[in-house]
Amino acid sequence: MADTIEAINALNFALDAIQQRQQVISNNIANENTPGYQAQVVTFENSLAGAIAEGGTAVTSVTPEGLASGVNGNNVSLPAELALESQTNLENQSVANSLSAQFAILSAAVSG
Amino acid sequence: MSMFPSISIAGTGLEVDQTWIDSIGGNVANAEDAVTPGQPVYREQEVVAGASSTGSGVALEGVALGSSTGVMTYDPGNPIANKQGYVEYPNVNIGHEMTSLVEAQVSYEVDAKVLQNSTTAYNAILQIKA
Repeated sequence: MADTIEAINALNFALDAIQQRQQVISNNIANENTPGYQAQVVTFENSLAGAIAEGGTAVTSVTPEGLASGVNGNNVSLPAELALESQTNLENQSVANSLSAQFAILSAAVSG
Repeated sequence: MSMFPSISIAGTGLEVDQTWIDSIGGNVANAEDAVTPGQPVYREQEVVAGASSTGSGVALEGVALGSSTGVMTYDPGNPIANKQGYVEYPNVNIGHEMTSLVEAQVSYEVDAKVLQNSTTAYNAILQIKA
């Protein structure tokens, strides 16, 4: 049961981070034409993998994407954001499904 | 911040795009509004947007007005022409307006898509159950 709870904690963290990524992507896309706007990215996978392997706390970081800017000082790449959005949506779905599966295991264990 | 932030962020994009499209509509509709030289002529409207300070989307910062000097056109038969036979047309470039319209339309479509996708994503989370 400890394994299940650990898995739930990790999935919970991932779900939060994915939510944040989705929000940042929405923000990048909403500012697709805003002069001077710099796109941001959310990273958490390596930190989470490290925390699972070696213990410790995983962190989510939001950093500038750092692509070259266009004439109006904006560096949002629409195709890149759209691709990342689709990927993030699928990840969100799969983490949500995994959480339900882990909860089912926990529920079975609790009710005996 | 709302409970479903991605949806409201996409909403701010849609709002700005809508204002942008409206201003283009106004510019095109008034592009041929000739006046007697010296009278105030229609000025091109350009929407100015900036990233929302809270990092939650895009915000309308204002509308910049184009040149107040129109384009002098020789049209002596026009009843509003001045003594020299000139009328003044607004400084609206239809090519520029049409290009902006395409950009605004793509932007609107993409923001609408993000809104739709965010809804699907939040739904997946709402369906988590024990």
